Amino acid sequence: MKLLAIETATRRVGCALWDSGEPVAGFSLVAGQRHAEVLMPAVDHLCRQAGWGPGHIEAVAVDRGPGLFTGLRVGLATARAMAAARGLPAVGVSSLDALAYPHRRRPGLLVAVVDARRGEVFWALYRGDGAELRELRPPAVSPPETVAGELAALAAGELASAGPPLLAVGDGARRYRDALSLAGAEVGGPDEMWPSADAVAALGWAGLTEAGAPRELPGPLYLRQADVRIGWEEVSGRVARPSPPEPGARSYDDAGSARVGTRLGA
Amino acid sequence: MKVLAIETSCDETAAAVVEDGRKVLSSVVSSQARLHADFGGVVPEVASRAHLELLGPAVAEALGRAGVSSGDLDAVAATLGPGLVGSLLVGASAAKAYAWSWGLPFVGVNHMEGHLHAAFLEDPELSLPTVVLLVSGGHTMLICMQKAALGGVEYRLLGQTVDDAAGEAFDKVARFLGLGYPGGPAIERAAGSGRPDAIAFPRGLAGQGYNFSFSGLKTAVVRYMRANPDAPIGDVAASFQEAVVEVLVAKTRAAAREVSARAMCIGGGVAANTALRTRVEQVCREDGRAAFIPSRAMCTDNAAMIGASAWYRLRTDGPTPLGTPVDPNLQLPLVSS
Ligand SMILES: [Zn+2]
Repeated sequence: MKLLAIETATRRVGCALWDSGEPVAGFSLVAGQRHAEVLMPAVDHLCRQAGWGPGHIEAVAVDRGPGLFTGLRVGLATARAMAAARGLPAVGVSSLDALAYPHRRRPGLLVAVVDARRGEVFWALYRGDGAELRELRPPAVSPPETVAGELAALAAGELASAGPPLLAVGDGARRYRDALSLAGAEVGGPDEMWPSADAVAALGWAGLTEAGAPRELPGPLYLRQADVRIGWEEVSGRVARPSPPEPGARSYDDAGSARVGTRLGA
Repeated sequence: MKVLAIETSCDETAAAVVEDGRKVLSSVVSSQARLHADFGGVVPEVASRAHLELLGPAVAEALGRAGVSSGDLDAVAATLGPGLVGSLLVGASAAKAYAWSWGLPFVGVNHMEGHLHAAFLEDPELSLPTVVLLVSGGHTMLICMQKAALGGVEYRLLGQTVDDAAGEAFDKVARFLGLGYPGGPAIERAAGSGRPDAIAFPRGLAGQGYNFSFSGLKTAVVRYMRANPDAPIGDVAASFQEAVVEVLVAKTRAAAREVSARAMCIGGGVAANTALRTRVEQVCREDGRAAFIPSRAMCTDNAAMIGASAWYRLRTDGPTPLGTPVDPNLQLPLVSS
């Protein structure tokens, strides 16, 4: 089965082609907020290089978050449209599972941490037995201090049992590495910052082959309520004049705030 | 040529199939107004979330109602701007994916040009030059649509709002009067029981060119209500609506005279307002000018107008590259004279 995987939940945009559970081609770019500009040309390029046409793709896997809402929706809108267009099965994969995936054979505790902005992180906790990872704590959104507090208690127990140190991966772990290090975690390097399209493909492949074709299209895992400040200035941004930003308003808060800036990527 | 068009620039999730830029085979609009009503305005994050849920079903319904399958289509179009960036991204990303999956060209469309092209959907013989008043919650523009020297249509901006959009003034005043959201229909309903000449609200920039101003009017309503807390809401709503409509029509009429327009046209959500529609018809009759007043469904945001514009753009500019970004402040291509 030929699978297309799409990853847009963080600042990195990626896509991958897998055939029968094996990687064929991959693309990734830390694109900031240019997900929509990068994704489809990348998919088109990869398919051309691999000699695949749109009709060859038999399934789609996509990162469903948690992550940056705007990027997440670019990937989900794309995956859902592709699935609907050709009647393909589509499967959603958690960004935190994808972050943890490269460490699936590592024994001990692992925490995957995605920067949720506004002083919070999306995180989930896993324990590895050397063969696979098991989720100890489901995805949640918390201030990093809360994560550090829970980890400190866990790490103390692990040390007492002389297990390997707790590993923290993801851009949230990098951002709050001081607090997590103090809590006894070893913080993964910059190459462990983002979930990869290959991890999404591998997990998506496993999901499709084990559970069979899902009946429903994948939906987003937001973990945070929509901010409901009313956006007069955003609506009036449609007037042929740029509306002045409100004092102190962030221009493009991808964490789900109502504020929308004068242009994408501003 | 059949185009599947998608429109998600604000709070309507819309899909349509349009043939040759003129014939609407289907037009589906899933309004989110109910979702935003509690907040008294469009909440961008709520709109983006709803677009993602509603878009697939809207596209399926548009194809079904038109009785076409992907093999019958020649292009897939979506609005690239102006609008809310998060909302635009959902529609544009989906449209690119549909287009690529079906091996069809993608066409990115300017929402404002869509509103201008809505006129052609119901009157293919629309004579030029035409002065178009585009009024909604996001825009208030007076545009002259004229024949371009090299063929096709070109747009000249005659005037626009210097502060609030007309629909924005309706929403804000409706919210202030406790009439609910969206403000246009709410004010119109309340105005039905009031006298339009009860209160002399100011006419912004009256007699001063073709630009509009509505923030002073909104302030005047607030001030009036503070001074007269027991004023009948119907009178306030009717007088406010009268002030907006009068200034919109007076400027459009003056512009039509100046450019010797053959027709006057209105578009945008506020163009669904009965008082405005009636008044435009009336002055056109008086001036011996054709009035073009699209159906209410073609005035408010819809995807059929995007399909009409896409057909035109595909012929003049060709397909839009898949890497083209959305642009919340996308400008109409305007000529200066
Ligand atoms: Zn509009």
